[in-house]
Amino acid sequence: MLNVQNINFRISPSLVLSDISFDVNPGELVAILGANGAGKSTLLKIITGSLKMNSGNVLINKLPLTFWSSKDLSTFAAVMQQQNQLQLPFSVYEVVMMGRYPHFNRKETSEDEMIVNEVLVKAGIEKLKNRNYLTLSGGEQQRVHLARVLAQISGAKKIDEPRYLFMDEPSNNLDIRHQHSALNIAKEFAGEGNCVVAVLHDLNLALQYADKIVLLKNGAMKGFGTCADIMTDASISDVYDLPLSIFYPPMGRHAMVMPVGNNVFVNA
Amino acid sequence: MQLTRIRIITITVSALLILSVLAGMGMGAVAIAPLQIMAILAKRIGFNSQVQYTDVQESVLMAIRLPRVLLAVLIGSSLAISGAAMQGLFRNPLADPSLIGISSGASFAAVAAIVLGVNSVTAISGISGTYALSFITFSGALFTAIIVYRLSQSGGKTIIATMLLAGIAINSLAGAGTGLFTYAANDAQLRSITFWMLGSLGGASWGNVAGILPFTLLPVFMLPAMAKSLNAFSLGESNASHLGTNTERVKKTVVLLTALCVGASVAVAGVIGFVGLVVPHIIRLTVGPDNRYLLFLAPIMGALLLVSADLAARTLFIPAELPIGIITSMIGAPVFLYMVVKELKTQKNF
Repeated sequence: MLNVQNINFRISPSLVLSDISFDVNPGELVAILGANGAGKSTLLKIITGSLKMNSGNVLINKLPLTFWSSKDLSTFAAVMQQQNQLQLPFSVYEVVMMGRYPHFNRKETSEDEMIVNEVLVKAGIEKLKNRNYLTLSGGEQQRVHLARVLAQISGAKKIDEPRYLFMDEPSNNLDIRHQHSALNIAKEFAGEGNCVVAVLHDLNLALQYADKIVLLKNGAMKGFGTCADIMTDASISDVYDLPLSIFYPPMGRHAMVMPVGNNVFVNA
Repeated sequence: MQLTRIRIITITVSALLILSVLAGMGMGAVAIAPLQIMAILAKRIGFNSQVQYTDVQESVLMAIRLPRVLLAVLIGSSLAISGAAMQGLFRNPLADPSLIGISSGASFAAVAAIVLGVNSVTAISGISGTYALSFITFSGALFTAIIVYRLSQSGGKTIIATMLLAGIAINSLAGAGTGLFTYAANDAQLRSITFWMLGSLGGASWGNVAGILPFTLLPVFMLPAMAKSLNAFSLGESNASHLGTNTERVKKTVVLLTALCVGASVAVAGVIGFVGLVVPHIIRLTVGPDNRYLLFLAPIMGALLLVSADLAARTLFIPAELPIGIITSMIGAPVFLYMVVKELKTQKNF
């Protein structure tokens, strides 16, 4: 499991994370929500070790983050970032195979090849397999990286501990079908006894897929718990500085969020 | 299919390398046939053959041609592989030790050493003299490499435009420094300075082959082990780290090894530009950007390019000899321009 304990982080007077704590149990998908600049991505970078916190603890399988080398961590934890900088004409297959790098030495095994082919199908990009990554659309590229992180944490488990998937706005650039497909994949992965943490923008996706939610506002935690416990009209209106209301459509299975009132920006 | 193709290319390039090495040893004012070359080399390791050759042929081969070809092989292979590794590190196919100022930093150090410390440098003769100058040019190369790398870092990312601009600035700064020392140099010093600036393998001797051997072999044998890490680097530094790469170690190793072999090459042969740019580019066009194949093929093709270029430099305008740096630049600059234009088109299309 993942324990985030009393994280404090200060990078500039305008960006401060203060006293953030939450836990992710095996089987859970936890979403981090908040307005632009609330510190969501920063928090994710701290949890994944890309940024050093000023104080606090991040425990992975009950051991502090600093205990793990990036080599160890990479065999059971994958990070899907918001931005990707690939500028070389690798094929889609080669990019996804990079997800298997932590698992083989010089040459990929037939198991690695099998896993890559599986995740290509899962991400719906098996037809793009031999395409040059640079010629893909933004949404297609995003799905290539989804497949890559999946490849990293697929295959036979060497130890009986949960695996981890961290995602920074995985629905970026994706159409509605692929947004749901991506979240479904994440949800299914969590369901296999693993931990997923995702920074999300779309409140409706969060309500539909997240087991628990971390609400951030200006670097401070405004709540942590199940959707039913913390997602109220008052709490999300406060977090986004916009009058919002949660509706329960009669035909739907999930709640959805809509702005309420007219001309909300007139007096803002 | 990919593997078959790589095998065919490896065999072809290796065969061409052997041919060019034989031509490099055989062609010139004193011609030596391939069989005679074999016979002379065989005699050195204790086998006598029936093939006839003259004493002049033997001494030309052993004292002049063989060290010169070996020097071309060592410098060509290490420049090509370190260029390929640099491009992996900077995530850009346009990075090259000479383009981002490492070579000019090294040659500035060499020129400064010649003008300021000519007595102390030449006083140490033979291998130790080569090592002394290697050390000085190596320091110049390393220093510039670190400066350019630091300048192009922002928020954990390497900003490519900044890197190239910083390289231009460092290039002209080192050029100004070199000019200053050239101005202050006497006639004898001027002659050796011209040699550093244009690049030439004309000074080849067993002493400088031995001198640069460790510095050039290290990158050729150590960098291929970084291939997977450099592939991961193409996704960005933090992604590479999430894929288990020790990013700090990769950065330091590549910059250090590049500075090492560029410094050593400049010390014995002056600035030979574009090898590290052209060779990886040709390989990427034929087998793709995967560093596992790129770093394996680059030293072979780099050796081939430099041995052939040196052969051309020696034989095109007999008895005059062209500086090899002119030849590699004449091949390299058009290829570089082509790459810049192509990259511009790619950005427009997507």
